[in-house]
Amino acid sequence: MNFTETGAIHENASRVFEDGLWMEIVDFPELAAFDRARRAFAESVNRHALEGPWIELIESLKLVHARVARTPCRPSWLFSQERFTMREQRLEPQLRARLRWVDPTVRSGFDRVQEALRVLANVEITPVTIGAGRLIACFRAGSRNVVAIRDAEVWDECGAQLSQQVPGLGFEIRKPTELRDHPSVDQLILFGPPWLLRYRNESFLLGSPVAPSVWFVVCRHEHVGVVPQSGLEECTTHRLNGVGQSLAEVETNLEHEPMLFQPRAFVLKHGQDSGLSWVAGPDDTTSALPLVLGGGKGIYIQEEGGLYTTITGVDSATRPCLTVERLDACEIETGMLVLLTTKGGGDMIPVVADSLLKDEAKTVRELEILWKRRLADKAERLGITKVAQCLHTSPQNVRNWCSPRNIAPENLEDHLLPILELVGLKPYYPKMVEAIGKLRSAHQSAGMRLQAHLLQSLKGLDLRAAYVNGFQEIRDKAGGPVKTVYLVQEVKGMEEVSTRLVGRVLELED
Amino acid sequence: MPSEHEDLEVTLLDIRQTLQNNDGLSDGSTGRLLSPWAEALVKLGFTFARALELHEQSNATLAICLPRIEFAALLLALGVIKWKTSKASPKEGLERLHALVGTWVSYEHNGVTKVGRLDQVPQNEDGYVRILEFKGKKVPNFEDMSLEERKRYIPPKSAGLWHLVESEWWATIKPVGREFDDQRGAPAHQVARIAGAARNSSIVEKLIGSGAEYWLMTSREKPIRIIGCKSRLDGELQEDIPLADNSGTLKLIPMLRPAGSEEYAASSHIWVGSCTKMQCVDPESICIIEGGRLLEDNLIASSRNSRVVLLGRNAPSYEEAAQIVKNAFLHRSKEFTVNCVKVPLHIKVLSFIHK
Repeated sequence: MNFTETGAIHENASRVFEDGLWMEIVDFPELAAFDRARRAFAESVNRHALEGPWIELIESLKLVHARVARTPCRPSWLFSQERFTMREQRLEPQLRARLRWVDPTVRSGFDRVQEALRVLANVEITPVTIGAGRLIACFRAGSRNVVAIRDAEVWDECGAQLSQQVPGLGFEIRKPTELRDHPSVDQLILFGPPWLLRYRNESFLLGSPVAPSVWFVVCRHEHVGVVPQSGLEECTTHRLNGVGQSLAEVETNLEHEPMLFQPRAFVLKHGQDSGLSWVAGPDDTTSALPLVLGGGKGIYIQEEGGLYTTITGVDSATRPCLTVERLDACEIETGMLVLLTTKGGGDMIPVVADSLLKDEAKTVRELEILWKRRLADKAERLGITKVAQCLHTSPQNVRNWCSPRNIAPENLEDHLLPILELVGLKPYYPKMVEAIGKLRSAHQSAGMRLQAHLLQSLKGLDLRAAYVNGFQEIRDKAGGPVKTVYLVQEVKGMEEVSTRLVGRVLELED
Repeated sequence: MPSEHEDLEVTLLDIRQTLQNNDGLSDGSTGRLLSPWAEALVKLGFTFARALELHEQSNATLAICLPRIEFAALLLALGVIKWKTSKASPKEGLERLHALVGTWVSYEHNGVTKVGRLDQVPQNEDGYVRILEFKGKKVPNFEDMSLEERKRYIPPKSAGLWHLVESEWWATIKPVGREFDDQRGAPAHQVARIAGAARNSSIVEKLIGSGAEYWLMTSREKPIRIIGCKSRLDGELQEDIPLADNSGTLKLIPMLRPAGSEEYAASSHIWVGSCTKMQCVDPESICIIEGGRLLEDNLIASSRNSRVVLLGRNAPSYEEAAQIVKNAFLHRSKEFTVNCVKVPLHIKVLSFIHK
C-alpha cells in the first residue's frame, strides 16, 4: 500500500475513532423466537448431559441463526438449499426416534425449535435485508459501498436481495478477510453484533477501517456488546451510535455462536505416500511449521525452509499479482497467499531437461537409472538400515538417493563412489560423474525456465479467487507444473514431524 | 531520593507540559509538510529520542498501535534523526565550509550544479573557495612532466579543473555525502542526481531543521535499527511521498540513508533488516520493531535497547502481538508517559521502562 492509500486508511480510522460506529437495529421477531427456542433447547440438552447427535444439532442450529441474522439472504431460500440443511435433515429423524427416552423439557425444547424453524423457513424477506437496503438507499449517489459477508456461497443471493431493495444503487460484496488490504471506500456495511468481530479475528475491520463510516446491521435480540479501540487497552471502547434504550449491554455469550472451523491434525491423502512404500523402519523427523491452507489443505514447512508468496495489488475489484517473493518459514503470516506446486512440478523438469540434453538424454538417464535401481534393490533385500551402515550414512539419505526426484548425492566422491562400489558399478564412476554433471546443469536450467515461465504467467493475474475460496489453481498453458495459490488460514506452532510429510500439500482432517 | 526512571517520567511529563504551553521549544513538528498522521509519527520519534537522550536511558519501550504499519517505522526514524540534528549546533558560513575541506561537495557555478572536492577555504569572505572539479578524465601528474611539457599542457575540457567560487555562491556548497573516484570523477548521472537532491534540500531543511543536511551527510552516529518486512521497507524508502500542500514529493532515502547502500556508506542513519535476522544489537542503537509472529523473539533480542514496537491493527497477528506487549508492560521495571505530543485518537501509545 502506498503512502496515499495508507494515509486514507489512517483518515478513515481517525473518523471511526472520533465519530464511533453506526448501528442499524432491526426487529426480527421470527428469528428472535427461534433464537430463544434454540438457546432453551441447548440449555436443557446440556442440563441432561446429552451427547452425540443432540450436540450436533445444537451446533447446526447455531449456524442457522448466524446465517439468517448475519446475511441478507431469504430464509426461504436458505432452507431450500440442501447444502445448508443437510445436517438438520439427517439429524431430525434420528433425534425424533430418541425423543421418547429423553426428559420432557428436552422433548418440548426440540418441538419448539422445529416449530420456530418452520416459521422462519416461510420468511420471504428479512428485516436484515430491509435494514441494509435502507442504509444503502441513504448513501450518497455514486458513493462506493462495500458489504462484508463471510460465506461466498451466499453472495449471489445476498446481491440479488440487496439489489431488489435498492435498484440501481451500487455496492460490492467482499469477504471480511479481503478488507485487510483494500483501498479506501465510502461506506462499509457489516452484519451482526460488533463484539463478535474480535472473536473472529476480524477486529481489523474497525481498527484499520476501509471506510470512514462503518455501519452494523444488527437484530435487536442480539447482544451488541463493546469493542475496545486498541489491543493495548481494554477500557477505551468504540462509541456505538444508534443503539436505543431497549438495547442494554448484555454480557456476550460465545457459547451460542458457531465455532470457527479448526482442523485438528494433518492426515496424509490416501496413496500419497505410495512412492516410498517399500521403505520400512522408523522415520527421520524434523522440526516443521504447520500451515492450515484454504480448501481444507495443509502443509508442513521445514523450520529453515521457505515458501514463495505472491504479492498482490489492491485494485478496486481485483487482486492482481504484482510479484512473487520468497519468505522464510517464520515470516509466513495468516492471510498471505503462498504458491505451491500441486501437480507435475517435479515431473515436468526431467521432460524439459531431456529436451535440453538432446541426444545425450538417453545415455545420461540410463546411467542414472542403473545405479538407483541397483541401490533400491540392495535396500529392499538387505534392509535400509544395513545399507545405510555400509555407506556410513543415514537411512533418510539412502531413501533420498533411491528417489527419482533426487539426481545424486551432493558429494560424489564421498557418497557416490561407495554406492557404486556397493552395487558393483565402480568402473563406471568417471562416466557417472560426467553424466550427473550434465543432468544437474540441465535440471537447473529446466527449473529456471519453468519458474520464469510461471512467474511471467502469474504477473497481473487476478488472484481474488484465492482470497474468496481459499485457493486458486494456476495452470501453465505450456504444460508446465500446476501451481496452486493458497490462502494461509492459520499458522500453527512448530512440530516435530516425519521428514516424509514436509513440503507436501496434505488433506486436512475435518 | 527519586530513581532515574522516576526522573525520566517527570521529565517526559515536563516535556508534555512545555509543548502544551507552546513556549517555542520544538516538538518535532515538520511545519505541516506531511499529513497529520505522518506528522504525529515524526513527533513521536522525536520526543521519544529526546527523552531517552536527556536521561541516558537505553531500556524504554514505546508501543504504538495504529491502523497500518506502512511508513510508520521510517517516519519514526525520521523523528529520531530530527532530534539528533536539532541538538547538533548548526555551523554557519566559513566555519561550515572549513569543516567540509577535503570532502566531495556539490555547488552551483553559472547556474549549473557541479560536483567536486573542496580544496581550500579562505580566512575571510574576500577570498575564493577553491574546488577541484573532475569531469571524467584523469588529471595528469604535473610532477612527472618536464617544464616544457608543463608549458605546453592545455587542460582538456573534461579533465580536472579548479573552480574559484565567490562568496555569493558559498551557500550553494553542500556535502554530497559520499566519495567518488579521484581518477574518474563523478559520473554525469550521479551529478544529475545530486543536483536533484540539492533542489530538494530546502524541503529537507524544513522537515528536519536548518543545517540538517550537513549533519545527515557527516554524522557517524549509530544507525537506528528497523526490524520488519525488509522488501516493503526498501520500497517505502524509495517512494515519492506527496507533500501535504501538494507542492511536490519527497523521498525518505536521502534523509534516512540506509546502511548497506554504497551511496550512503559514509553516514547511514538506519539499518533495515528482516525480523528473522534480528540478533542482539548495540545497546546504543534505538530499535524500531514491526510487530509480527516473531515479536517475542525480537523483544528478547532488543532487551538491552530502547525500542519502538509497531502494532498494525490490520496484521493477522495483531491481537497476539498486542498481548505480548501487554505482558512486557505487566513485567515492566517502571512506567512512564510519552503522550507528550498531540497524537491522533486512532493512534494509541503505551510506554514503559522494560526489564
